[in-house]
Amino acid sequence: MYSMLSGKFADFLRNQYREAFSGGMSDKVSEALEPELVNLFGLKVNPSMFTAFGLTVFILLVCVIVRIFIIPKFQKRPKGMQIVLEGIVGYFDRSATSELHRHGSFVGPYVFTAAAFIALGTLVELIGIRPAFGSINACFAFGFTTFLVINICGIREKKLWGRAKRYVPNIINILTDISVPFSLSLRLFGSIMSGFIITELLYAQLFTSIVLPAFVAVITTLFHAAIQSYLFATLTVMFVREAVE
Amino acid sequence: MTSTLLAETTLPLGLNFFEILLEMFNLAILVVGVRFLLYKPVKKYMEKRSEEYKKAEEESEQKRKEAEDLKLQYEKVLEESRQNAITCSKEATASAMIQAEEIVENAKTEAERILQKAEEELSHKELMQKEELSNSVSELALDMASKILQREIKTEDNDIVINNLIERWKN
Repeated sequence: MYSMLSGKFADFLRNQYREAFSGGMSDKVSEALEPELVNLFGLKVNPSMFTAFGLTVFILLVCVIVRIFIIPKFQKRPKGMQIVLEGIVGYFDRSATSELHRHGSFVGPYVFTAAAFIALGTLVELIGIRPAFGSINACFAFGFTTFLVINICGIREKKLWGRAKRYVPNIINILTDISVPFSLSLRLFGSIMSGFIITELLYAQLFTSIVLPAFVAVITTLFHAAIQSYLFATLTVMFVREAVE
Repeated sequence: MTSTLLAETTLPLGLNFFEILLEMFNLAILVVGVRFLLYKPVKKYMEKRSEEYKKAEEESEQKRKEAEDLKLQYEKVLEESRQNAITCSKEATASAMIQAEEIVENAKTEAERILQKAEEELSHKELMQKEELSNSVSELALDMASKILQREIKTEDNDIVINNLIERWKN
């Protein structure tokens, strides 16, 4: 009985793999990677961009609500929402300030926002919305912005010549620095897209779309959301610290 | 025109530079918004509270030091008081001893004086009594002699007899 079921499941996976990758990408994978573009103020853009904009509006609205209704009611002895907010902001501020000192006040909010955006942008997949990082453009945007932040801090700390001097004795450093935004972007895109594609493939078949996604989604979405946001935040702080050292 | 060209450029995986710029702009707005609406006010509140705690801690430390100084002062005063009390007690004891000795001395003197007076009085009384007794004995002897002799006895006889008696009595 079990061997029959496992045999059927192995056949199913084989068929899925063949369907997905034999003779090019399957419709599902292709659709996940290159979805039909949508119209945004006359421009054809990836639907992930809608998620990104929507998420920005949502986060800003939450911030406004928190600013108006929660922050003025802060007490010396924190409780409830205040503990959560102070815990999160305190964590990012401490990690940025302890590593980057005067640059902490600039990098801290960036890392905090990026981590929150990555986590929420991935978690929206759980409610059936296309993740914000389902488009490689969003990932590259994050990678390039981090690259800008790293260099702004580096130039602020060492001035332009001081920053450029590191390329003189060892020209390979140029390659090291240029690879940073690409490694950040492609890591983000790879992990989030892989989770998205796996979930899409599971939903594509009736047999696997009943109970399995509840477990797989936890691994591919929840874990990725937490891990990728943590990783992005840690790597950003690390790269900026290298630049200002 | 450029934007249209950028937007419509077809690259692998849907790569589009215009979208990247839009996403970067979106992220920049979000970072600025979150920084001013959430991050900075929360951080400012935490720093303010931390500053207050630091200030309170410093004040408490200062008060603790003041209290310790006061304690030391009080301990010093207490020690001085204790020493004074011991000195006073010693002095009082010494004074009391001297006084007691004086009292005892006075009492002794008084007792001696009383004793001497009593002895003097006693001696005086003894003499008086002896005198009285001597007189009464002489009278008694005279009476006895008169009766025995049944005659007139002259004073000279009396004196002889009395003096003899007195001498004997004295002895």
